[in-house]
Amino acid sequence: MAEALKITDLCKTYITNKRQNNVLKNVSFSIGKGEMTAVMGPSGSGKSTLLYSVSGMDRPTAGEVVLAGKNITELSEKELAAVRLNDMGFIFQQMHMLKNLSVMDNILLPAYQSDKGDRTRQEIDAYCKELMRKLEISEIADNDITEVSGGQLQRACICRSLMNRPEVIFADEPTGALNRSSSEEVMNILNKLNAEGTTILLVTHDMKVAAKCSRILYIVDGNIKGELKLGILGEASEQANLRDRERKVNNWLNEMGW
Amino acid sequence: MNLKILKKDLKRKKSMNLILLIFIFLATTFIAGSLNNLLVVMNGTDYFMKESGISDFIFVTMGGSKDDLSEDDKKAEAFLKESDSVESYTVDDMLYLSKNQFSKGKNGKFELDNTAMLSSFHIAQQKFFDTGNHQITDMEDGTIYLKRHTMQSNGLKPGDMIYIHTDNGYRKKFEIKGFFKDAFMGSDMMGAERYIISEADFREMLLKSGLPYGRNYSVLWDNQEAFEQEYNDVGLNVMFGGNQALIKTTYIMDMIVAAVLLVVSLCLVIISVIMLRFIIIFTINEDYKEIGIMKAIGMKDMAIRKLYLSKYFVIALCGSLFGFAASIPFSRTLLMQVTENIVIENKGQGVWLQGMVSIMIVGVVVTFGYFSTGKIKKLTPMDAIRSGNNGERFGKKGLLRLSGSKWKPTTFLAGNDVFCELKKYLVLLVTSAVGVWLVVMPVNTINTLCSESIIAWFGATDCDFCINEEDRLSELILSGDKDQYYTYMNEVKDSLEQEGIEVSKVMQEAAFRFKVRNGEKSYNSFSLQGLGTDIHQYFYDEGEPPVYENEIAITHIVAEKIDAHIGDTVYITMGEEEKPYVITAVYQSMNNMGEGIRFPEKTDIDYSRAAGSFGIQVVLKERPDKKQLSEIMNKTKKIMPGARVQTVVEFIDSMIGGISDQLRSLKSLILAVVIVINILVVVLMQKMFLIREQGEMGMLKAIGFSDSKLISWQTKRIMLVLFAGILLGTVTGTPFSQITSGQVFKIMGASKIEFEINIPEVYIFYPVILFMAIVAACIITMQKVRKISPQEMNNIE
Repeated sequence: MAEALKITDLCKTYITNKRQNNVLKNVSFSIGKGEMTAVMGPSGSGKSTLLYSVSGMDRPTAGEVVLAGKNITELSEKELAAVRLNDMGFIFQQMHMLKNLSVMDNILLPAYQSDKGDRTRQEIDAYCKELMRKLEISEIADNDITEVSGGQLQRACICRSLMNRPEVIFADEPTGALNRSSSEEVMNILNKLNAEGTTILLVTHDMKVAAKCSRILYIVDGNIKGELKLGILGEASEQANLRDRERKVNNWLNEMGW
Repeated sequence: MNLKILKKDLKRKKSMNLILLIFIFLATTFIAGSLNNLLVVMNGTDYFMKESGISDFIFVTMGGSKDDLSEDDKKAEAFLKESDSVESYTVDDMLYLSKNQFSKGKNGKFELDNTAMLSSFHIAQQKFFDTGNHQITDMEDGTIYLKRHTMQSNGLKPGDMIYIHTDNGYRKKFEIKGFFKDAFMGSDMMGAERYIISEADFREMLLKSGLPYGRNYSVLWDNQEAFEQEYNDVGLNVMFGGNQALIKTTYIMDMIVAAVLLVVSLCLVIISVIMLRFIIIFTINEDYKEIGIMKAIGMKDMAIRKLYLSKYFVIALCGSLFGFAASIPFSRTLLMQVTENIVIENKGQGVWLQGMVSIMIVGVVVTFGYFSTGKIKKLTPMDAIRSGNNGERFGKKGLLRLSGSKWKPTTFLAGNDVFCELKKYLVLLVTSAVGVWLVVMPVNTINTLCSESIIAWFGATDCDFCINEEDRLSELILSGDKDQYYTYMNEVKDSLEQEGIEVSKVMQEAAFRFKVRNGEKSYNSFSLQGLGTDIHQYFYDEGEPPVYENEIAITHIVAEKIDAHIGDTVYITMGEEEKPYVITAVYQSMNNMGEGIRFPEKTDIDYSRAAGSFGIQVVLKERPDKKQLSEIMNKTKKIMPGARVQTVVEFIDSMIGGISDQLRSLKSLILAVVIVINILVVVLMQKMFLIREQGEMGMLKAIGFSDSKLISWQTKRIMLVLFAGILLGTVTGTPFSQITSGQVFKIMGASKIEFEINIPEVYIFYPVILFMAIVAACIITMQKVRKISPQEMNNIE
C-alpha cells in the first residue's frame, strides 16, 4: 500500500522551567493511503503532540514527516501554510469557527483562499453545498455559529476540512465535545469519507471511536508501545461486527495497560 | 489569598495589564497636560495685561520736545486734567527712530519693518519681562532689549552690538541683552515697536540725540463710555490710541497659535477619555472567563469585584503617577509656542491641577471598573465563562456574505469584522477623523493668511509686487503734500521702465486717522485713500463704491461704533474743519482690527494729517510667472537698493507680523503629535486585538492561512476604518476650520472670509501621510502574528 504519511524518528521536546521534557521520543510509523488510524494512550502520553507535529501544526524538535510527498519539517512557514490549506484537513475537538461568519462562509473560507485546482467560485459554492447536503447540514448554511448544535457544528468543521479535497484528514478527538448520538453521526461520516479513499489519522480516548478505525496505535511516554490492526470496517450498521471489534479493542487496551 | 491571585494575574496577563497601564499613562499625560494648557491659554492675554499693569486706555503722541510740548500734547494734558471721566493718568517720554539710525556692529545694515520707539525700562506705564518671564527691574548702562522679531530678522543674538546714530552726529553703542515681553507694543501686529534701555542712557539720549520726541499716555478711567466719547471729541492726532481690549486684540495672531493649541488639547482630552473607556471595557471582557470560574466555585460577587477593582486601582495608580510626571514637560513643550511673546501664568497652580487630574484619572478608572464589573451580579457562571454573552441573539451578526462574492477572503474578513463590531472600531474612526481636523485647521488658516487674495482684506488692491522705501515714505509724510505722493509714484514708474520693466501702473495707499461722527456718536478711525487705484477694485460687502468727493465707504466695525448705515450722512473732522460725507458702501478689513474709512482718490484731504503709507504697489503690463516675477523683483532691488521689495504674500506677512513662520512650525508639531497619537492608538488597539484574537488567528493558521494573509486581514481592517475616519475628517475638516479659525478672522474684522483651500495639500497630501504612517505602524505591529502557533486556536472563545 502506498504511503500517505511517513514519520521517522520524530522527537518533540519542551523546555519548562529550565527542565527538558521529552514528549515524543524517536517515534516512527507510516500510514498507508486510505487507512483510518487511531492514536490512543493515557493522558500526557503525547497523543496530541504527535498529531500536531505530524500535521504541521507544530514544529517537531527532530525527525522527519513526509506528507503528500513533502518532508514538512523542512518547509518554510509559507510552504507549510500551503500544505495545511491544500493537502490536509484538520478537525478539532472544539468546533473552532469564526464567530462573525455564517456556517457556510466558515466552510467556504479555506476553499476561497486556495488556488488548488483552478476552481471557480460557483464550483466551490456547489461543492460546499454538496458536502453540506451529504453531511445533512444544508439547513444551517446561513445560520450564525451560535445558533446550531455541537453535532451540527462539528459536521460543519468536517465540511470545512474537506473543502480542498485533502489527501489526509487529521482529527483531534473529533467526538470529544459531542454527545453519544452526535458522536456516532460524526464517526459514520468519517468512516464514509475513509471508504471513499480519504486517509484519516485521529486521536481519541473513546474505545468505540477507535473500534471504527482500521488500525490503532498505542502511545505511552512518547513512544509507540503497540499496534492493533482491525481491518476496514464494513457497513457501520453491522452492529454485531462492530461489537466484536470493540471487544477486541478493549482486550487489547487492557493488555497495553489502559 | 487575594494578593496571591492579584500577583498571579498581573504576571500572567502581562500584555493586557501593560496595555491598560500605558493607556492610563497616556490619558493622564494628555488630559493633565492639556487641561493645564487650556487654563493658561484661556487666561493668556488677560494675565499678561494684568501682570504688566496695562491701564484702561493708552495713546501715543509724536512731536514737540520735553520742554516744548506739541499742540496735541498740550490738548491731551488739558483734557486729562479736566475730564471727570479720568481717574488718574501717567505720562512717559519716548524717542522715535527709523531703521537708518541703527546699524549692526559698526556699519551693518539694520532691518526694521516699522518705526521704532525707545524708552527707559523703568516707566510708569507698565512692567517689562524677560524671556524667562521675570520682570526687568534693572538694566546696566549701555545695554538694550530688542523685540524678538527684530532680533530674528537681523540675525542678532544676546551679546551682539548695535549702534544708534542720529543726524546731529550723536552716536551710542549698545550691547543686546536679549528680547523682552512688552504687553503694549510686543505684538507683531502693532505698527511700531519698542526697545528699552537704562534710565541714565535714556535721559542722556533725550538731551543729546535730537531724535523725535513723543509721549505715552496711560489712563485709568472712571467711566469708559464718557471717557472714550470725550477722547474722540478732543480729536487728538495720535500715533496710537486705544483701550486695553484693543491692545489685547493685537495678540490675535498669538491667539491663533493658542487657539490651535486649545483645539489640539481638547481633542486630546476627547481621544483619551474614549480610549480609556474602551480599554477598561475591553480588559474586563478579558476577565469574564475567570469571573465565571470564581462564581462557579462559590465566590461572592462583591469579593470578585473587590479583587478586580484592587487590580485596576494598582494599575491606575502606577499609570497616573507616570502620566503626571510626563504631563509637566508635555504641557511645557506645547506652551512654548504660545509663550514666545506673552507672559503666562506659572505659579505652580498648573502642577496642582495636573496632580488633581492624575488623582481624578485613578478615580475614573476605578469607577469605570466598578460599573463595568457591576454586570457580574447579573451573570450566571456560564454566562461569564462565555465572555458575558448569554447566548441570546436577536439578529444576524454579519451583514455581508462570502458565498457567491468576488472578494478575497482577507478583504471579506476585514470588512465583515468592521460591520459586525462597529462599536469596537469607533475609537479609531473618531481618533483618525479628529486627527485630520487637527491638521486641516492650521493648514487652511495658514494658507488663507498667506494667500495673495487676502490682500483685499488689508485694504489694498491686487498687484504684482510691492516696494517699501521707508526713508522716502517718511519724507512724503513730512511733506504733507498729496502731489509729492504722485511725483514719487511717477519716479518709481519711470525708473522701473528705464530698466525695461513694463509697468502698467503704480499705486499707493495713504493712511490717516480721522474722527468720524454720526449724531452724538463719534469714533477716531483709521482711514485710507488710494492713489492711482481704481475705486471699483476694492471689495465691498454692500452698497456701491464711493465715487464722488463727498462719498465714503466704511467698515462694519466703524458702522457699528457710530451706528451708521449706507445712505447716512456722517461728519469727518480734518484739522479744524468738519465735513459731511455720504456712506455708499460697507466693507470688511483686517487692518487695525477691522476699523476703516475709504475715500475716493478725488476727495480733497489734508495730507499734513497723513500717518503713513503702505508703500508702492506695482502692476506689470503682463502678469508674470513666478520665475519672471523673481527676476523683475531682483532687478528692482538693484534699481532701488534702499527699498524693501516684496511679493504680495511677503507684504501681507510683514503686516501680520511674520506669524506664518510660527504657524508653519506649529503645523509640523501638530502633524507629528497627530501621527504619534494615531500610531499609539492603532498599535495599542492592534496589540489588544492580537491578544483577543490569537485563538481565531491560530485557527486560521491551522486551516492554511499564511502569516502574510493574516497580516493582510488585520491591516485591511485597520485600513478600512482609517480610510473612513480620514475621509470623514477630510470632508468635515474644512467646515470645522471655517468655524474655528473663522472666529479668529472675525475678530480681526473679516467676518465673511473665504478660506484658501489648497486641495492637493488638504485633501491628498496630509490625509495620505497620516494614512501611510498609521498603516506602516500597523503592519510593523502585526508582524507578531508570525509568533502565533496554530495551537493557539484552543484559546478561542
